Amino acid sequence: MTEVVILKNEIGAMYQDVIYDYWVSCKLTNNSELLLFDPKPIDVSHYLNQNVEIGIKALFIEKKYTDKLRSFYGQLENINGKYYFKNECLEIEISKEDIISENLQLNTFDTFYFGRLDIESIEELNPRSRSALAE
Amino acid sequence: MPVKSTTASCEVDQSILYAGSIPFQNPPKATMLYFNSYEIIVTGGNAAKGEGLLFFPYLMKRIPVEWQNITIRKGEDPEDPFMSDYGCIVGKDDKIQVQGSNPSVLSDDLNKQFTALAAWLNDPGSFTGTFGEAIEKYEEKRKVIQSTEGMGGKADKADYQDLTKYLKGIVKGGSDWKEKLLKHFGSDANKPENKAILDKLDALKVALLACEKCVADNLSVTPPKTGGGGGPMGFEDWEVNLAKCVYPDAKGVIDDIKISIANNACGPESILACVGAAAMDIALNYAFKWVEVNFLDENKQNNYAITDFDNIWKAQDKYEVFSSAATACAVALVPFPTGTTKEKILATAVGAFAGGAVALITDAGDQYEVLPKTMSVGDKLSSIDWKQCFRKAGTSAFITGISSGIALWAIDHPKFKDFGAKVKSLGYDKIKTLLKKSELSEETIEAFCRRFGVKGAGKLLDNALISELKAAGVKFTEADLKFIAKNKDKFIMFLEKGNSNAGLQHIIERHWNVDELMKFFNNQDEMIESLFNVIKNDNYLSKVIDTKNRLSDVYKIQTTKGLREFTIATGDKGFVVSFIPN
Repeated sequence: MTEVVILKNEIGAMYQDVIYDYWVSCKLTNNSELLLFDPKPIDVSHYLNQNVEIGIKALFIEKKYTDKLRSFYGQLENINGKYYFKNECLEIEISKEDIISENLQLNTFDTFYFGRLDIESIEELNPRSRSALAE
Repeated sequence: MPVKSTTASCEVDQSILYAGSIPFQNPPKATMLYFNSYEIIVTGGNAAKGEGLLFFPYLMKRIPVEWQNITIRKGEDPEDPFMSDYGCIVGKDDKIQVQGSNPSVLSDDLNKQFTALAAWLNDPGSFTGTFGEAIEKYEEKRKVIQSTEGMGGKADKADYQDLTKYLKGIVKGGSDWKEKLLKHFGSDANKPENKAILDKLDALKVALLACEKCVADNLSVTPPKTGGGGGPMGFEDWEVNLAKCVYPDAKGVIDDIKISIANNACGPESILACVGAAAMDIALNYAFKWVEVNFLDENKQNNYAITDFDNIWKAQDKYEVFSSAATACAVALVPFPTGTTKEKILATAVGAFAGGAVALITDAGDQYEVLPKTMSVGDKLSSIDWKQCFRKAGTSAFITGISSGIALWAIDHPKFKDFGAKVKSLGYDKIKTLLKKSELSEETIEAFCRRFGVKGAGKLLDNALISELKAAGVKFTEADLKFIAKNKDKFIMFLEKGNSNAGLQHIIERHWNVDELMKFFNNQDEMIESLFNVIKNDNYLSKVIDTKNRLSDVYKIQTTKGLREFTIATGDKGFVVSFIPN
């Protein structure tokens, strides 16, 4: 999970007043901003300006430099059979297929390039964590 | 025996319309075969031995014929890819014979006609086409000869031989026409206005026969073996004389006769027939002028809608338009040997314009009727408010008229011969934009593009489904439809242009990015087509309808990155709201 503060919840697709998805802006613990897609949608509007933990999943991950793709420095790990990109402030679930097709090395620090990042889940932070983030 | 080029569908000389190279051994019953200028309907057999009905224009009848061991190739007409299969009989020694060994099967008269027909078929010097075709061919050849001579060159003897051949056709056709006119005029044949017409025809016949003799006399001169060139600019006297033989304007004289007939015959009872044909002729001239300025001119800036009457009308030669219309009027009123391109195209256009033709003709007729009786046909036609008539016909009628008539129109207007190729080279999007300017419905635009084989046309829009959607009362913008398809649950799903929140515009603005859809499709068209294909042909992996009636179907789609899962989000009536990779 990744700890963030939800900054903005923008409507994505909408038809006949029914909202189909959102685009969510949030702030990471290192103060950098991240734009996430909420496809389900979860609708994080009631978490605005709150510290939360979110599950993030990448549409795809690549090793090769690609212009205009977001990149993060970190390493890939296998945790309980699932694969994640991790660094000090981000945890992103990635697909096993991408690990195989891109021939990506686990447990080695490197720069990786990412496709759209989706919010998979959201949880309120426990009070202790919340106060730590607030500080 | 050379294959003549009077049948456009089977031209083998310099024509783009024929590319017959595929053997056609077993043409099914009712297939059309073309042999010289004759049309045969197959009634049985095959190329080795078969029988059919040959249309003999001078009799206006079909006669039973048979053949053995002929060479048939499949006709290929790129101008009309939707035309049914037809064949061309192309063997050098192929013969078509009257059917039956018992001559009593046919009347004596028919036998005589057939003997003449057989002679024509086997005599390359004879013209075997119709009167109208003879006039057009003569005019064409005359222009070739005169432009060659005018530029200081020498026309071939073969050109003069062809000229004579066509000229014979005109003389024969003119005689037939006179007979028909005499019957038509009946006891009024001696009325001064009718007699003047018959006299003009006689005078034309005399002039053409003199021309024929002049050509024959000068062609029979044996050129000197050495030297020569004693005449002006190195021409022999006989060559100079030959050039003088050519009768200047047979077509003009015949058109003039037709106009005279129209002026005499346009009584109140025949006004509608006359004006109807004239109106259709003017509409066609207008429609094809629009085609010319938009699709065929070098100036690519010409981007007029078909409703842009003032600009298109301005581009037309009015004299030509109204004299052509008066001729059409005459052709509609009086007996005339069949076969002119004008007649064929008018008949085709009336069929294609359908309801539009009725509206157009009725309005033109109403306006014509109230004009002063003292005005000539030409003057009356030029006084009609054509803009109003065209508006009543509707733009769709014009487009279907163009689609149906272009091949015939191209016979007299060589510039239009490459129309199909030029339309294709413009591409689907440009044509669509151009036609949309004319406020044409999506259906008409698609039909137009399909007619000319423009890639991308029609495949994604099924008119039956559009009708079904309308009948179900679903609100959608037909002009903005990108595709419509029925999924495996028989649920109609459709993608519209939409806006920033839903539909194609939303998909492009929010998801056509390097980190999403661009990763999986080479271009937007490919993406739309993939989306259409998967809805139409594949089963979804999962389907979710939530409490807010949001419908999400997950499909596997083949992409540049292999098979990937995508979600298609739709409204409860099938409107595709969004499309995202999972």
